[in-house]
Amino acid sequence: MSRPPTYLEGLQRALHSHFENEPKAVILGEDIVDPYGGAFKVTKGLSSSFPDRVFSMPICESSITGMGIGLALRGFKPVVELMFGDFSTLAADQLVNHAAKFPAMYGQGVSLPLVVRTPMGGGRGYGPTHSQSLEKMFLGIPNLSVVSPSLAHDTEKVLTNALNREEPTLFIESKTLYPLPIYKGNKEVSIESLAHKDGYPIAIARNYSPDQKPDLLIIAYGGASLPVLETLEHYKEEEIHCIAAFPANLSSPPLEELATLGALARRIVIADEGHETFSWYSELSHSLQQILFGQLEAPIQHASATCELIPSNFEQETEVILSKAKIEAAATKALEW
Amino acid sequence: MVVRTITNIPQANANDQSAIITSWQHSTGSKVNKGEVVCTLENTKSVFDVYAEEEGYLYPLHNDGESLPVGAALYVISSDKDDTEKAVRDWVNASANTSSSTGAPPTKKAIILAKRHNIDLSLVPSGGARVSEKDVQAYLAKQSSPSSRKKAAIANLPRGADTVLDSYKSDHKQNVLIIGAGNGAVQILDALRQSDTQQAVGLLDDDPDLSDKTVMGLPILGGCDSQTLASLWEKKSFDAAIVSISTNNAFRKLICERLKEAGIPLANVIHPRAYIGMNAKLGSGNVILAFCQIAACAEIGDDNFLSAYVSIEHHSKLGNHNSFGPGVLTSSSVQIADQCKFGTGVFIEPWISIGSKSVIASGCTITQDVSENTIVKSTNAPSSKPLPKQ
Repeated sequence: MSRPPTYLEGLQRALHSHFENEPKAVILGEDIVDPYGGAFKVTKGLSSSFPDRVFSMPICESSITGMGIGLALRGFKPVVELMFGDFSTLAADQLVNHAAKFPAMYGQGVSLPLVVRTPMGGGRGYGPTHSQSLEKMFLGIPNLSVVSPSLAHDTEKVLTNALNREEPTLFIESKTLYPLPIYKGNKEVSIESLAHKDGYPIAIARNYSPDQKPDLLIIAYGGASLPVLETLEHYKEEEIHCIAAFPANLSSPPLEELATLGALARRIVIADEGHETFSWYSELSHSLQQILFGQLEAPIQHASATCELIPSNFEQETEVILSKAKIEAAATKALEW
Repeated sequence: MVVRTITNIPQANANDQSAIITSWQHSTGSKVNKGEVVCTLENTKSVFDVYAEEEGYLYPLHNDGESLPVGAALYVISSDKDDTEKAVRDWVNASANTSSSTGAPPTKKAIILAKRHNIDLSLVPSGGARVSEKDVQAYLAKQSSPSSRKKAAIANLPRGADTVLDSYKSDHKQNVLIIGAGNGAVQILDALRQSDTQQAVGLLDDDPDLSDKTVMGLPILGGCDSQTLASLWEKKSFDAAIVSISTNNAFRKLICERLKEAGIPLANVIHPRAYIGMNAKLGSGNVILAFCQIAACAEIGDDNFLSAYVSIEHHSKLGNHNSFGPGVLTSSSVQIADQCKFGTGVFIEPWISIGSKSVIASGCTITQDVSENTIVKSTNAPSSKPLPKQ
């Protein structure tokens, strides 16, 4: 059996097939042309195969994104790469006030099939301005989808689904997950994929057999899936039956499915890589308690980055960002309640 | 004593999870000084030296060119000049094994379960390498199941013994000794007359004029002093006692304590026409006369005297040594502390709390909390005047 593709390879394949199947596909970004092929190599080989549709752009996230919007309005299928998610702030006006507004404000018949891809997350010692998880700033904006595949997702499928849509999508990738093989499960943890009507599957991981009941549900997305999966592996030997759900669609999470799993486990931890307070986990725990009020054994717990700058130093960075230790501390709180 | 220390592959930067040994600076068994370079490692970004953290004799555990994960044992420094490579390797393997097998902690699930049930995990026998959820559940089942406890007790009984763990036979009536030989005693005797399970055997009273007399045919056996009580108890003249005095709660308390001290159980005397609701909790030593109600989920402490028609409504809570005249009605969730005295015909609203040693006069309607040591009098006492002449 061949090894599963890495998180990165899945994304590369999705772009290659998209460019093969869609003559109107173009991609804009900083340093994305070969031989460099982008800071994280997602576009590696793309410019060699499609030299007239891959454009290295000046360092100006707002114009790159703005140009992508213009191309999308004029019938192209553009992809924009922002080298670091931290600089999505520079493209925020284009995303929030232009991409998310034009289709509705122009009236009928205008679609805006734009995918803005960018990596988020720390763990690599890149310091305060290259390690953040800022996607929460773009959540709750009408008509802007925010999507992120976990390590248990087929990244090729998730990106392909985003590329085939007619509305703007902010596609969050994970720096730490890029080199890792897609998590297909092992003797501790099994993986399944739960289809969803929006086309973005929910990846489900569990460390117990189907005839047993879960003690705990952990909900996470994107890069947070790695420490969650490590927690599940560890908890296998600790006899904690744990189910993890990784939705790919962050802006419109599959509440019904998550609530069903939550009602089964009756204890919930939500993990995300963003700074704590006013976060994805807080919105999701609010929505879940609306459905599950009275059905849970413990208040919904969370694990996230602490609300401070992310240091470069390895040990100090580990203290600040989301970690397996933080997830297990939250899980212990839920389990011991 | 030989002191050996292991040095592991260090985490040299955030991106590398392994390193390659490029060279060793010393041969096996040679002396190294603290701070000296022991070997050189290489990762994706740099080549770096590893320095000896103490002085001793070097035993490398791997060869040049080997790639090792961060945290793997790299070399050992031994304090013993005559240490051997084999001894060092055996020691490294042994210490790796000890940390993973013996003394392994219980599983997290076992720890959480133990915490939830407040049990000491060190007492739980392990069925495998670690104390597991199953082990804790088995321990819990053994500890707390009443049926298994009863089974064990029956198994230990001698041959021919009664399996019901009770000192009474099925037709035995509880012999009740009544403390006080006044009107309260008469009411208790009347209630006991209706009972199939209890009977009065005699009375005690401190009044010397009453000695050698009877109440409704039952003898007054002596005073209420500890000595009399103890000697009657020793002779098994009675099974339990009840205090009949309803006018002096301090005295009720005193006798109650005297009885408890002597190890004498208190009887509850409940008129068969009284109603006791579901989940009502009752202590001991209570007198509950005809037409009383102890409603669902009400709680009654010890040594209370409830005259006829007293209703302790649902979820109300009554402490100890209280006495009630007839017709005291509490509403739900009323709290009454200890040694309170109620007159006749008192109404108490829901959620009211009445502090200890308070006295509530007849005819009061209690609409607010009463603190302790308080006397509550009715403000709407009726006035009277002669009828006008026809």
